[in-house]
Amino acid sequence: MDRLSRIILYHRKQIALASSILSVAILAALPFMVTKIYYIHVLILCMIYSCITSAWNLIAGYAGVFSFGFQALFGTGAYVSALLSIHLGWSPWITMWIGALASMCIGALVAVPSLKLKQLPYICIATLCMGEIIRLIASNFPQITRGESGLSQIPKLFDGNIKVKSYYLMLLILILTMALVIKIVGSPMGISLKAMRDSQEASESLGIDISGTKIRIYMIGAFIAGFVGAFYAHYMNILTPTSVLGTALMTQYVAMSLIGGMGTIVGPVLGSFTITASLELLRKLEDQRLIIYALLIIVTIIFLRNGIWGTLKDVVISSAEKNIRNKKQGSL
Amino acid sequence: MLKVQSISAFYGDVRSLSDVSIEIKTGEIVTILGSNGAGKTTLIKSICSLLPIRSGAIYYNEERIDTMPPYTRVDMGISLVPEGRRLFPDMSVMDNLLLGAYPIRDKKKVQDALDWVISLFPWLAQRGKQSAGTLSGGEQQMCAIARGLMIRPKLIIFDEPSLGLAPVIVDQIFDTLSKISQENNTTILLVEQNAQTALEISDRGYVLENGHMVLEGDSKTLLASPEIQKSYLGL
Repeated sequence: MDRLSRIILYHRKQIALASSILSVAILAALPFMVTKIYYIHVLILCMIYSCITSAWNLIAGYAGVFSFGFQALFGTGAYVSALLSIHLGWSPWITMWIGALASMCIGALVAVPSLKLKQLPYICIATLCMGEIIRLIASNFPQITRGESGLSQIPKLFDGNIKVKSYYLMLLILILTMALVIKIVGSPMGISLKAMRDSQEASESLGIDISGTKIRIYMIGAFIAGFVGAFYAHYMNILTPTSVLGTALMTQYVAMSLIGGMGTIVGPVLGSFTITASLELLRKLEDQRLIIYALLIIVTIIFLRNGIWGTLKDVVISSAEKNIRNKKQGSL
Repeated sequence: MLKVQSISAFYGDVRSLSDVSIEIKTGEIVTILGSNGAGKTTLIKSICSLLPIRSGAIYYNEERIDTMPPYTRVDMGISLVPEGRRLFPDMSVMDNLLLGAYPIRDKKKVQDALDWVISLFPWLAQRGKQSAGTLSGGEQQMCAIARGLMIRPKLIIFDEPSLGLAPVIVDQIFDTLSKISQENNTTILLVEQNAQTALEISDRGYVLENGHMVLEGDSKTLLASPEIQKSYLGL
């Protein structure tokens, strides 16, 4: 038992590396094991949500800037890429990058009010409004976006076995996103994000450029969201303002972060997989599944303040520490 | 080195500093005394640009700095150890120290700075992994000082380092301050209510009252002056 505790406490990096390789291997092998194409679709959705939620978690969980307009960045990427490929006939492989860059620019714009507004409620309202403005723009320019009736027949990324090919592309995007998130969290920028979240004044007096860091992290998050949004557009081939810019999407990523564990690397991914998969598996219950969804959120907020992953981590580490402490006292 | 030229500062419409001027020369230890609400912390915030000033100017090595954003202070070599320590309680002691060296990108320089602050406070070495919130008050203050020293500042500002600490610890901290000043020729601006101890280690002092500068002079003169003895030393 105390050997295990020792391994948990002193080899956390190795454990993390081993388990990420294992999970990537499992995800890569899944299309060979899963026969139903529908399950592959669910897994793609899980990975899409993992990316958005992880990007949002960088801004909200690490930097402490609660943005409720993040769906707009996902939608911007989706719409820009779809419109360019439909109207100009460009290859989706190119428009996806343009969509991500457009989303990055919007991200920098959305970041601006949150620089002046230091209190949480104001930031929430301002970002929510920004998100709604972008949704209203998309639904009120029918000449270009076809409004609420939505875009259809968006060019596809692949021919032939679309689901499996898209699955591997999405897996690659997820791996790159997570690598970026891990890199940022471990870098000096990651520490400065956490410092900003804990005390803006103290971090300012330590020489952290708060405004610059906020804009930078917003742009990084927006780029990820925009790119994944563009992937979503070309994967689903249809877009409506409600589906990619609506507040329903916002409640999804917020719930996934909360349930998985905010301010952790694994939490958002865990939350996305748990919720997306369980919602899809409960599809038979139709709308009653939303009751289960709501219950899940309430239970997490009451009993697991740090989310599933945060709580798990706390429990495992503290019990390992206790184990070793007891062992030391026993030997004295 | 630092010249504050008749500045005024307001919180909303409330004037908290009026026409305050101070000057600090390289290598000096200067104390600013004042009771609660006299404007001591406001003065510090103004120097660090955390609070914009309404009039006047602040010069650092002949360069006007009051219009520059707060984070540029650290690049200039000005470090602040804020009131109430302001450590990041959930982060480890080591992360707190490393945050102090945030603008420095050269890893070797950071390591040198770390070795140096550990030589000043050897106990930090064993406590590196502990979260800063679990340190005692005195340890937290020392950790905050160590964090402030990580950039090897030319000017370091301490806002009430003795606040809420036992007299023994206060003595220790002030010993460290004079050590830092002597060994590295670091200029120190000290804001204190503890007049006796602060004036003993400093060269000169200023006294603030209701946002006005009422007295200034050599520490010895101040210690002997009847006003100080009456208001701050209880003699």
